[in-house]
Amino acid sequence: MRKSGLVLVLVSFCPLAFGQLDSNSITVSASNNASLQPDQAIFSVSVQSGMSTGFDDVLSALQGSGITAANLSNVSGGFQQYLNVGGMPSLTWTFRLLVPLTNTKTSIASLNTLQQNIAKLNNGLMLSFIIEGTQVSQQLAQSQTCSLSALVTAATTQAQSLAAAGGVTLGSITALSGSSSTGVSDPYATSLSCAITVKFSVTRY
Amino acid sequence: MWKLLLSILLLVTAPAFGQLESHTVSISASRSINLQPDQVLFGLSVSSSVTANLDQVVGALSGLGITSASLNNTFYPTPTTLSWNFSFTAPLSSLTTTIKSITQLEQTIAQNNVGLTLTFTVEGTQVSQQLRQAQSCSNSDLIADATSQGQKLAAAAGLTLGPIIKLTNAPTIEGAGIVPNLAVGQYVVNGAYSVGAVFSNILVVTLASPVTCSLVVEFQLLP
Repeated sequence: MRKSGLVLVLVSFCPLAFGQLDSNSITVSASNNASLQPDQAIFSVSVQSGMSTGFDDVLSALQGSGITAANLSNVSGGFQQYLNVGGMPSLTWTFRLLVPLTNTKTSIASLNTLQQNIAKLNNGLMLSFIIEGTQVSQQLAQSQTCSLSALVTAATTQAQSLAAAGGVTLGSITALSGSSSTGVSDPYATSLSCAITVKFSVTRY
Repeated sequence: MWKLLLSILLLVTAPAFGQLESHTVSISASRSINLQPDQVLFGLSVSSSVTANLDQVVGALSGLGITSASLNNTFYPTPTTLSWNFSFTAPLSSLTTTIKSITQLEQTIAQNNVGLTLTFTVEGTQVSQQLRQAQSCSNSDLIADATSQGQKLAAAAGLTLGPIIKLTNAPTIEGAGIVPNLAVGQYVVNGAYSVGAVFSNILVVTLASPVTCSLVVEFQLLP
């Protein structure tokens, strides 16, 4: 009974140690942020159709624009649009089209032409588009690499400063941590962040 | 015996300390995948007299597979009218067929003249739970990413990456967006008059809905 009580007491102290630093070590985090220049324009292309129009019909009307099923971002509509399109219910198919910034003018011209061609067909479809904004392309984001040696140097400088202030001598690197990510979790991000944590051993004077 | 128990408990709690273990390189590797929406979310609104009950309303919608569990909210747009709002999903590939079914039901309800009026909206698209669950994270890819990054990091510090000594799985993160479904106004539908159809916000995973898989890999750090 007494021994079990002792075990529980010791374990209950463990959480207190969670946030503590290792003895005889200095742990430093170093990071840098690189700003990225957006290189893509984001077009939002909407096609308004009747309620009986299928996805294939809409895609067929968009042929030649570079828009495919993979560009669909939303479909909405219904009775709230009775008042909008000649008293008839309608669906709005919204597509997201990414275009290199350098091709923005050409893309606008192409979409204008497509808009006119669809209107001439008079088949109940109506195209409209807006430029929502700009973003950094996945290719550009992935081509940016962090200088890990620069981060290690920055961490070492910082650790030396801390060691000197603490009256200890900085030793060798004993542990490292960092991260790696693939794919774009935030397509609107315009900066690249790199961070590492370095643990050094220390010796007392 | 108690010493053994104490040792086990301390060993179990040690990884939770969050500290960098000496002679290790710890890399958190993550991969994000964007998923295409494959479902359409419909909003159905049934306008009835204040004396109607849920069973009567759900019964009128049975052809669509609507149950009482699909009810989002009810409210009184006028003192004599009760509005019942439901939502359900259908595959994107069945959008036209589903709209046809709802339109037919809309007409049937109007013809039956039972004091109910059905209206609907296509609220938007979302990624189905099935599609999200079908996305399996490739641990071998994550380990390869972590190994590559670990080698670069160790080399930058003038050291060498050793073998893997620990793997920690991180929860998969699913992005989500709120599509506000607010429609307030006056509509004339099937000859009936309804005022102020309001739908509550519904959590919808939109196009920008990356699924992020993560793995923390700990390597031995060699001199």
